[in-house]
Amino acid sequence: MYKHLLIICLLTSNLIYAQAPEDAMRYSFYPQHGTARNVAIGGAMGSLGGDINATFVNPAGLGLYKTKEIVFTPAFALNSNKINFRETASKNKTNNFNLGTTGFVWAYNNRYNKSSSAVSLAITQTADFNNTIKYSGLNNYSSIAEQFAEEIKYSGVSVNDALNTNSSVPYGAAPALFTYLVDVVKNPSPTNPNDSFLIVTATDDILSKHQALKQDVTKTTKGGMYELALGFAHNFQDKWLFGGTISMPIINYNSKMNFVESDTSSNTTNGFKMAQYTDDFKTTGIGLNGKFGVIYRPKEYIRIGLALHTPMFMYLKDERTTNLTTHLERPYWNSPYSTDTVITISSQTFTNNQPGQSKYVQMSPFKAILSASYVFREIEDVKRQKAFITADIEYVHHRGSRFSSDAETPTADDKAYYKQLNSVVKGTYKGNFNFRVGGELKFNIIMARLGFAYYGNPYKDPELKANKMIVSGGLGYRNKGVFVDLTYAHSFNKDVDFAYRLVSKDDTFATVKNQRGNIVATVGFKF
Amino acid sequence: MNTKLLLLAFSVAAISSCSTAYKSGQTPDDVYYSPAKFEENKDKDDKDEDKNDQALQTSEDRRVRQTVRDRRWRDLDDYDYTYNNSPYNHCNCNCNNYGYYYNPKYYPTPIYTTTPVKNTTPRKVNLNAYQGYSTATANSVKNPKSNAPAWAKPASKYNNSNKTSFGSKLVKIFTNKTSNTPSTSSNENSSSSSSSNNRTYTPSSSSSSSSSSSSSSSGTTVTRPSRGGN
Repeated sequence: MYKHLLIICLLTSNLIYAQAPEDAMRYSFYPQHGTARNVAIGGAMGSLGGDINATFVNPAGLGLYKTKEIVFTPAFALNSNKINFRETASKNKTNNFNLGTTGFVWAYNNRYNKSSSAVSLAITQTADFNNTIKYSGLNNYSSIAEQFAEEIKYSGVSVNDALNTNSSVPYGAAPALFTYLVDVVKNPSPTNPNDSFLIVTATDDILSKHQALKQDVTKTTKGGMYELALGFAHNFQDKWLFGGTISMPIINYNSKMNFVESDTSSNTTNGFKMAQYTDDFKTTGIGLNGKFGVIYRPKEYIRIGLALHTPMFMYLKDERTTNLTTHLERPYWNSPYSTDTVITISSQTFTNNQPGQSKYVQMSPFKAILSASYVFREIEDVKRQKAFITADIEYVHHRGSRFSSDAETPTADDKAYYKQLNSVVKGTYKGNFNFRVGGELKFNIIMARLGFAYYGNPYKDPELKANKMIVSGGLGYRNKGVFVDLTYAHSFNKDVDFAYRLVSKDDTFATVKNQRGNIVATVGFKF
Repeated sequence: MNTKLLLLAFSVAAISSCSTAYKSGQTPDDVYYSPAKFEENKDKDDKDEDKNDQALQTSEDRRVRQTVRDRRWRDLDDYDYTYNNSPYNHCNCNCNNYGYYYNPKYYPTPIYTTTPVKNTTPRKVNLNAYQGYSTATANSVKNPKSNAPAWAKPASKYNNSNKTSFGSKLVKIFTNKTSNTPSTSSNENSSSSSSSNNRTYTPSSSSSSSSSSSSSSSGTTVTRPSRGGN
């Protein structure tokens, strides 16, 4: 029995891990989510406090609690995308439910030294991944097949090693070789007398004649990053407030890409008709993160806050399956056959008939928040409480995302890949500043709120435009121990999407303009 | 989805079980200012209510609390319901899990259950295609101004338009390659596509391009299908 177990352990411990640079942005470039009240004021919570969402922004803000409350925040998002890909515009819409900050706060008061403490236990959907983008366009410059050809070239893998039930290139190159979308042929150049070989693609001939391929891309992403957090704060005589939060990010991300590339000409003998490539992968995992903050009140109506969020250490697992269907026309390379061929293959053929799996550790970048608030009429009588304004400046060190193997003794190849991956993250992204500002007018039991937020471009390359701008407004009702808040936040988001990347050619990408309406409702009870 | 439903159910149950203490009077707002509330201020009525609740507790409740406080009360639990005394439980002395299923009535030997080996190939991308990737080759190429190593892929190189430049139009005119002209021979296919192809096949392993030899991987070779019939 021990022999069997030993063999199983040896086989399963041969783990290689790695990821893509785009994974870094998923867990750092997202807007502030929270309770309806906090979303309505642009998400600014670095110094205001008194809201359970302080648990996730500046836990010192929990120190303003003198009471207990429980809140529940459902939300509904309406996504609308306008995409431009190679001068062709596309539109699509998608909607989904999500979860705002939900949990409870428990405050303890000390009557003798005018201090208090508060504890919170809350969960929120920090990032919402639900969206679908669709775009299509004509491309006379490059093909996805070239990405697979380059994978063979740069990995140095042989055809035999690629076409293996335990392949090292099972997701792109192996299916492409199997379906003859990519092949290896003898170099026909007369200037090369040696028996050298070239990696060719079925689309090379079309592109070499400057004819266009039609490319249709659909990317559907689902899931979210949730944070379960335990926060604590202590209020020293209403002057200094200190707080800390230990949170556990829970990641559930599903991505499905459908890429169709087809010949647009009426020529039925140019070797290529169509290729359809689907790429499904899901990422699951958990992590650990700390948030620490302080709020200073030089006057009773002024609050100045500073918060630091440590990097999130996430232990993640990816499962991936790709499928490729290639429709080849005659004649195909040196093939003597004269009829069309359609071949379909799943990457599971090259991953022992099951989805491929990889495990790794990812560290998100740290954040720092500086904030100030002005509260008009900070007094006990609710009827005389009038308004507040608050603003946050947040720095996110996007280029600080890091990947590493989860193995105790990673191989030299693993180390080299992760070193380069981290180098690419540093070269592709930069730190950016985000701004959040908002305010509230209070009319006894009714409140009206407005907010604005701007999240800057995380890409180092100025040609890649990405940012998020959010305008929000909401109403609140607070009476008889119950409060109900309703908010609508409208986001104008810009980003870019690369369906594939090439070494030998310039990349082509789609510009994505996303508008996202988020309806957030919070119901809470004071007790 | 199940997680969301569970959270929703939990939240609704928790909220609906709340009884707020601010049904009359002002509801405090901690964002502005809320008065400190001390435990000693609990109303006398509340205390009386607690006493009445205690009086209504059943004997079963008292027995459960006794069980928690005093171990001897636990022996009164129904013997037949305990798992370890089940007549179907063959493991009476040492209940370690050996990791295999064993049924002496039907199988003379233990049956080992093993899971197939996972392919752990990562979701790798070609990092050469990104900015910031520096190879030994890139390091050998120096920027003439700064003398710093050049990146493998220069910044800001994108092609998002199908419009050809004037130079490439001229090339197209003089090469007289009309679109939609079918290629008639496989050799022509190869030469036209390979004219600008720098993707040389130089595998690091010794295998050739033929798919008949054995593989160096731990798996078995996958044979490609025929490219089509006559």
